[in-house]
Amino acid sequence: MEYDRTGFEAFVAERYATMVRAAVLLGLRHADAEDAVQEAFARCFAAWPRVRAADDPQAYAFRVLLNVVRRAGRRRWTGELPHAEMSADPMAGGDPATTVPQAQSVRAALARLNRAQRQVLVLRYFVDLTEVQTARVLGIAPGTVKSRAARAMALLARDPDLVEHQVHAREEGP
Amino acid sequence: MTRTGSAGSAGGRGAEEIAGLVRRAADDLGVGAPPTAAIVRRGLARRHRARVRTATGAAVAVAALPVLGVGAVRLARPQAASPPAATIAVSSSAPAPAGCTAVVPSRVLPAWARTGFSDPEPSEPYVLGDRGDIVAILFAQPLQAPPSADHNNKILWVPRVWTGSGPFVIDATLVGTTVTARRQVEGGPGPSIIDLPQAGCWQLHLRWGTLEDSLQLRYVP
Repeated sequence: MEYDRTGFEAFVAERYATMVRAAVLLGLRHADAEDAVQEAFARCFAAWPRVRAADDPQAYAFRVLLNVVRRAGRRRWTGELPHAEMSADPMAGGDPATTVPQAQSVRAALARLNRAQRQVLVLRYFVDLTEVQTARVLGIAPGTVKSRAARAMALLARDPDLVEHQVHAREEGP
Repeated sequence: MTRTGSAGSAGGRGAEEIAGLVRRAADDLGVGAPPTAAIVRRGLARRHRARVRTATGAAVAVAALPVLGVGAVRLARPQAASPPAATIAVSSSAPAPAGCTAVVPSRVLPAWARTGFSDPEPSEPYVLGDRGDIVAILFAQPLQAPPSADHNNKILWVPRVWTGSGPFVIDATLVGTTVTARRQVEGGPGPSIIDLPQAGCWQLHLRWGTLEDSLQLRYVP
């Protein structure tokens, strides 16, 4: 049987945290995001030979995740898998005094975008997929990714909370 | 709060700053180690449920045949110089199967072939193997020989059961001729680009480990 469990475990370990954070940015609560990602990976494992053989397994996994996230929005989630190990450094991103309010402001601003715009920004700039990969995940043309991202960026640039953070970033300078 | 003109546009530096903010938008979120063993168990359970559903569905379909007044199920194999291929006579009102037609109609995929599609009931152009053990989902239509400059002859192969190993082997015969071609998809069934040497109705014999099935695909000039 072509179930390469070691390869699957490496695939999960490499992407789990990013996918959980992406699911939060797509609008799920943290606990729901963890469960959505676990469900997405479970679906990937159920079809692992096909995922592994896909042109872009990462894009495949994100496509499954978006499907799960979409369905999670319709019903209450009940299937989270409990686990005990916590991140050694949950605030690895920098000084909590500045990163937390800023990150929360950005998440709030993302939540004010429509779903399609939010998906493009999260995949393109948070996950750092290429335009082509983003297009493949969303099932749209690369040109649509570009135009949709530009519109979403313009909306974020006018968001009052983010204008303030942009100014602070400029004042701190490179 | 200070406002700047450049922040009102997403171009240039403003866009870079916004992209940077999005990149850091989850910096405060701690994420634990993945519960990989539990994920694997959930995946195995999901695969098992899918198999049970498939087996149950097949049993119900077989049980329903007498009720529908179907006397026989006949597989008509393509013969020399008779391009219309595999037809499954189920009942006079049943929709025609895809077979060797230039344009395969979109239909809802079998439950076991839906993994990875965003729609829970995805409708795609597909051809089911004669034994019902594999589907060929056509991502581009029509299939063309020689290949079109506009699109690839991309086919996603999905077996009912993932029990094979090694490459997925396709032995193709142009119906009514002795022209043959062999194609291999490394790693087993999955996405592939299958170009064949001539236009026409091709009989494809498919093998992956113990899995064997066949189907027909038409390539147009």
